[in-house]
Amino acid sequence: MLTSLWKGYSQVQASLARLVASVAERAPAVVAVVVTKDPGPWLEATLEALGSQDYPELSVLVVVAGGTEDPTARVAKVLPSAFVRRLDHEVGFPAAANEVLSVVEGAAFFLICHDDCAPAPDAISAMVEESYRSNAGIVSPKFVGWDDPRALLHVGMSVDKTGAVVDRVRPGEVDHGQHDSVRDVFVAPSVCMLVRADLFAELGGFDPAIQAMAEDLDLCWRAHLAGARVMVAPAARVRHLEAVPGGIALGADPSGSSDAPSPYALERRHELWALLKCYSAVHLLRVLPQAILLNLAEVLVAIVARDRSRARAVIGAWRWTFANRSELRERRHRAQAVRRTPDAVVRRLQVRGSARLSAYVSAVSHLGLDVVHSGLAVFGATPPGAEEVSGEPQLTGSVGRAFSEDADFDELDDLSPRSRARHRQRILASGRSRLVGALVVALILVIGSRHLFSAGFPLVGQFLPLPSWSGAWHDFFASWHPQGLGTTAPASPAFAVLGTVGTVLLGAMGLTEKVLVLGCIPLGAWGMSRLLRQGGSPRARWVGAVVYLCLPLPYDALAQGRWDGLVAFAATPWVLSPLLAAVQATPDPDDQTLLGTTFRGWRRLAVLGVVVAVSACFAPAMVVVALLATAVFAISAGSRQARLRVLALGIGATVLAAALCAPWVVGILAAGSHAVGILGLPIAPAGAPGWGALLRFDLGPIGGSALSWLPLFAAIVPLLVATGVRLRLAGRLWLLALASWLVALAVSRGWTGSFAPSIDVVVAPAAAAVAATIGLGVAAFERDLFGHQFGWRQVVTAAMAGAAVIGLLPIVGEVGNGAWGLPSGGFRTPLQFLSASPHQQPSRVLWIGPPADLPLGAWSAGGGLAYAVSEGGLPDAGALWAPASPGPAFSLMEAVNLARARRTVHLGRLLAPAGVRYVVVIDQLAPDAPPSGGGSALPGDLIPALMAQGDLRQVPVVGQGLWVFEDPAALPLRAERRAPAPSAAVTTAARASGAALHGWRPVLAGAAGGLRFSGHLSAGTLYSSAAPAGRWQLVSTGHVVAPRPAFGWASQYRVPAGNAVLEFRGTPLLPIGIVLEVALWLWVAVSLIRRRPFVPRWGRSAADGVSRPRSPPGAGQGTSPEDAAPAAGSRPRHVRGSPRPVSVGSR
Amino acid sequence: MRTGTRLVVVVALVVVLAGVGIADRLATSAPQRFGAPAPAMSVPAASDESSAWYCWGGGTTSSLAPVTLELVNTTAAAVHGTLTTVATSGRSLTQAVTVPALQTVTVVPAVPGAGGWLGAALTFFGGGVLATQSVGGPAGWSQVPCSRVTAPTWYFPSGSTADGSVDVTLFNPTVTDAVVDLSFLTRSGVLQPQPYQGLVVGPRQVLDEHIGDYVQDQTQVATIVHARAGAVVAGEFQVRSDNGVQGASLLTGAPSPARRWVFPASANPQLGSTVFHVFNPTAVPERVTVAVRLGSGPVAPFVELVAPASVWSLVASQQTRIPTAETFAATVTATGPGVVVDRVVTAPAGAAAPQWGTVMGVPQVAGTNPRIAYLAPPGTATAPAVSGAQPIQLVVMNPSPRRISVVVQTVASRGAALTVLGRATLSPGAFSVFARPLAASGVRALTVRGSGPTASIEDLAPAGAPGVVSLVGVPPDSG
Repeated sequence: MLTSLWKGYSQVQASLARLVASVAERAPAVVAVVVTKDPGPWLEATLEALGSQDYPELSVLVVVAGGTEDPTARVAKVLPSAFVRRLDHEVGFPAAANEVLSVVEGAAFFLICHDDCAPAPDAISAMVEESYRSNAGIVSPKFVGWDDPRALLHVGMSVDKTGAVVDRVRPGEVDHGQHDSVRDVFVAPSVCMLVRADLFAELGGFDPAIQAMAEDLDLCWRAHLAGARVMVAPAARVRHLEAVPGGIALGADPSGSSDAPSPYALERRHELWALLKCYSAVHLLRVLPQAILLNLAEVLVAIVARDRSRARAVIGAWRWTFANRSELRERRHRAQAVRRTPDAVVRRLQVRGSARLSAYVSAVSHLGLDVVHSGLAVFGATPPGAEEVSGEPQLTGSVGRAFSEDADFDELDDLSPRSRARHRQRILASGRSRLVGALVVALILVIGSRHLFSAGFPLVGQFLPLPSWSGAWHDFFASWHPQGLGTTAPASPAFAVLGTVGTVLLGAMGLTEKVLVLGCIPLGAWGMSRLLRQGGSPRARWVGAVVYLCLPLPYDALAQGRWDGLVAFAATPWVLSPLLAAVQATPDPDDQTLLGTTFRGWRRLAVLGVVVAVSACFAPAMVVVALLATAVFAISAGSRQARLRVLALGIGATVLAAALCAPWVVGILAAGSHAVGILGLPIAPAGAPGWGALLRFDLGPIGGSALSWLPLFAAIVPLLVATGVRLRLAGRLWLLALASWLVALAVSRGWTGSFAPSIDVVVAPAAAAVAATIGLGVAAFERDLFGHQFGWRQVVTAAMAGAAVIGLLPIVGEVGNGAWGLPSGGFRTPLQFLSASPHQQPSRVLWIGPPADLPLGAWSAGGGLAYAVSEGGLPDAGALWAPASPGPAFSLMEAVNLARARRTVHLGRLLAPAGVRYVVVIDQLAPDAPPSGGGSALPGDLIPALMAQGDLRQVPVVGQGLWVFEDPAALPLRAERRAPAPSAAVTTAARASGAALHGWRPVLAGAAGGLRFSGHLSAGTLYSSAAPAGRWQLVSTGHVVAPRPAFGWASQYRVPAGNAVLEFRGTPLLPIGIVLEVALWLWVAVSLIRRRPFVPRWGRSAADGVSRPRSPPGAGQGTSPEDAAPAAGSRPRHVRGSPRPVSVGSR
Repeated sequence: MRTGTRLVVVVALVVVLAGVGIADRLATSAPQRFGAPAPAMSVPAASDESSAWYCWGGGTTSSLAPVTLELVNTTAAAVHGTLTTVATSGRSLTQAVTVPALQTVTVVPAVPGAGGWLGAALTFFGGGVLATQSVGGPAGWSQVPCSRVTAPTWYFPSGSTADGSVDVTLFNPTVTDAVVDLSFLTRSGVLQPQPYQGLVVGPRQVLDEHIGDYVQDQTQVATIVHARAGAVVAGEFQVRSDNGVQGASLLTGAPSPARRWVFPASANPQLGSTVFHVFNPTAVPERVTVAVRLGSGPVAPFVELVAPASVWSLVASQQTRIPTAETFAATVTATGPGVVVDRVVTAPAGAAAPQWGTVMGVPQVAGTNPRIAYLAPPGTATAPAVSGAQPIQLVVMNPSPRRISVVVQTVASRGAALTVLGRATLSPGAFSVFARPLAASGVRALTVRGSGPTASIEDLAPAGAPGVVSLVGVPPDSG
């Protein structure tokens, strides 16, 4: 019985053993595919890890994707059972992995992996089990650090609607088991993934069009379409070295071209590729526009941030996709052929919103703009030795950049409550607190400007409606402009700027105006932050920028509709910054050039030249600012070399700016003595600011408070407590401020005669200097008072800091206005009738008033009065920049002066030949503007003189400070009659009879500013009031009719009856000049872009501009373990917090 | 840098900032409006492109004081122009006029349509012509230069609806509508009768308002004409008829207050009176000084603080320091924005008619420096526009602080050379009376030329006393 029982037990045991053995024999076969190329020493570790797997049915296939080294011997030594397949040509990781489809049969799973990952012994078993348990098509393990298994790298990945991959773990996250749950993910990193063999075959493997990067996204997305689940099995742990992203040498272009795309560019390209492949057509219609918009915004931000890598990557992705559109169609067809799941289901696995935008905003808020954008460059083609270039600080001055310099910033996440409390006690000491402060300031600005966002600007000052984007370009290229009585002077390049911005903004010129006008304010603050890189701490830069924001200058300019004041506010710090850098820089002993190293000198000069050129287009007096700063800094330079350097930079940049605006500048210089008028026009003593107003920057309705004196006193602090570079900087800035104020006072008092650069512009350097010195005071308090015993210095500094804060309150108090004092109603409504003229042809309007009040470019009439002539009613911004010389329009003001001197009562008759139907006199910014404190700037005799004219009818208008007179006798701009017009001066007899002005009939109708008019003429005389007369050609009945002078400056033609064409005939010189100008702009832009070294900007001391070597970010992402080894432990603090593209370098 | 050095630098900086501010404050006077207000009466320069005179006063019938215009061409070339006559009926008439070189032309405007008050706009294609207007009727006669300007505001210091009548004439020679308000300052306070508010004076239209209809029995009426829109020429025609005293007066208003007014010659008539009315139309009190200079020298000035919107009447004939019947010069000076001053002379009832007349002073506008003055009495020596008109005396005063010499000449008539009627040298503030040579020359246009600024006035007869009918010299634009 016992024997039989024992036998039975033995049989059962044998059966179970056989059963177990058979089960073991039926374990699904897994083939691990290790793709490698010229592998590093980590290959053996990878193979050893695979060899130590507890999974019984594992085969290893090593695919050698080209390269110079044959690793067969190394593989054989470690894992003799492995198969090696060496490809005789270089292919990317996806194509190499796909080899498994052609060489392996019968496998249930493929384990695709890089050669730098080491699965734990039970990893494959766990993944296979999970594949069965969850019925997953693709299973991803949990990736941990190679040397530190506690460092979590990936636990699957997500993706947003645009294909941007986002990791589920944060960089540096420690594995506490927080992600140890099995779940669906969208992407399984290709570092090591288990994929069902049949699924892999059905999908056709990886997309061979993908060279590297995002191949896993593409595969997993298609797997989702095919109805397969992509799971993560955290029980399976894989160490990953991250030595070679993608598993092979990235960006290895078989052609050996040095222009191989960066990994980031490859990633962007392939994400877009996957998006276009995998969405259905309906979903694509919905998602693609969003992707385009996001990409467009990203490119704009990247350009502004000078992040060429990012811009190039995004643009390159679209370009590459477009170039391969036929292949894309084919791939898309294949991808859609396997679809079993609708997009709606697939998208449930995607994250909401834009993952890239969220990551970007987060990174910017934590690290600063420059760090974010510079961080991308490390994945690009960093030139050898670039990391050694760290001498000159090159970081831009963003607030965010300032945060990244803060030593405490990286510790914020780990701050205990106690340390947080300590942190709060130091005002603005942390990057986060400065960010919060910046956001508060921004919020205040937005609230203060809230009424400006909702509606268009009123017609106040220079806030004229912009022409259309095409109109702006036309104004730039046109050979003739209707300003005055017509001019051939080249237009200001400002039209090109308006046209460019308007074109970029898709023709939204209202938005263009707001962007340009309101953008000046933050741009100025940014420039101030950048200016304070020299000698300023992050906190000092923040304070300087905020103080600059809180000076009345920009808001007064805004309230008065002054483009020039706003542009000067924005551009002045950018002009001062390189000049200060030039005068501060320590000479390079190896550099014998005046401007420093060849590239740096050229770049500094070119950037300054471009800044001066662009700003001078809008505010020509910026040239005076640049030269004034150059002179002051040269005088205050400590050495002859520094003096020569700053002189060479300032003068060279001015010359370059002149060259960049060459046709316009030539036109100005050709105006002779009128040329200085382009800088600004003399103002009347009644409206001129005094010394006190200049010191307080009280140039308008804002800033008149007595508290506005306080920042001035606060600016004295660095002179009392600063040392070293900060003291020298403060001294130079104070000298500049004094020079600026004195020049402004001289202009204000009329001591400079006709040389009267705009006071708004001339005083801008003083404003920048005051703000910068206050910032330097903060830096001095931080550094130079450190270690001093408590005494008067601290007391004075604290008092002056308080004064500065109180001094900023008046501006804060203006926030309630909502428009910074800009009048709500401009001249558009009361003068609307000018544009709605019932006459057949547009007529001209003669504008007279103080220069600051006239809503268009003007010429001086002496005594603080200015005049301008527009054609066709209310002017647009095309009339903002008048030619330097008024030309024959001068005779109109002569006639007005005749009336003022009571030497005529027939002003209307004198203005009539010019087609001036209306004379508009303006004495304040807007009909509803509060009267200025200085009283009327109009000459007291002007209005009575105009009212005394027997042939001018005063038109009743609503509002104060506005008079309109109509000249009923005004001639049409193009008219005909039988009798000719007087050829020269109008004779007394002709006046007596009015014969010169009677009997004219309008002909050749056309829009204002047109260059060609045609129509039928009766036999007689054709009169044209467009100057210059000689440039207009009349062709009547097929014959050119010779012009004859009329009224001394206009032209008349004796014509037969018939059709005629009156057309402007310009010389080709101007178009050639403009083409050369555009070419020069492009050349400068390209040279700046191409010659900029790809150096991440890390090497800079926060305080004194003293360079110190730092490792570039990405030092741990090199191709050798020596490079990688210190990545975890001794990575520079910037690297730890630096943004990493979510799917680059870690997969 | 040592602390002491720092402090020196900071102090130096503060001193520079404060010093420049103080120097700027000291160097910069109060901002003034560019260009002085144009005088209402001045002879346009010969080189002017065109010029105009606006004559506002005169009726078209004998009962309404018919108007006569005297046009004096001070240049050596004929001046052409047009005369547009406008009646209160709204009708107008335009005719060509030509004033030969150095000639005086008397024009009796043609009457467009039915009668009524007249306005006349003279437009010349050139300059150099002086235009005056004169009226004569049963009550008396008066003459005043026409106005060269239109203005939104006009001031009249005096008037009486108790013992005479006052007509305010509004003439709009422009092509723009004018909307005018009339305000009256009386001893009862400020009156703004509703019918005189918002008076619309159309282009080339004249309105005549008999203010006694709404401002009744007021012995002192100062008038303010204010145009809300547009500009007009405003004049006052007063007729006095009370207790045997008669007179008529044309008075062109003052378009703006002035700080200094000069009366080159006045006299307290026996049994009559001379009253200076100082009208302060501004909103601030004015400290007014009337400096009187007799032929023998100055006397103590009269000083008064004139309240805003009030009139100070200085009765010169009651001032013991001014002897009766002695010619004296009076200079009225204000310290603030300015005042408007006229003078009323009343002769005794038994004197020759007219016994009453008014004249506005000669405003001394800052910045103007007239060395020449023209006077154009009515008509010519051979054909006076007013029956029996003849000059009594011409008084030239030196309002400047320097000694000057003056020459009185005739404006040459046809075929005649310039005739020097007299010469004088005047110390500061002094005046000289030219009586005998003037009487010998008869009614002729005169030129007063000085080596410095002058102020001149011509007394005309028939009148009850010097000053009843007076004509002030009109300077040329070029001074």
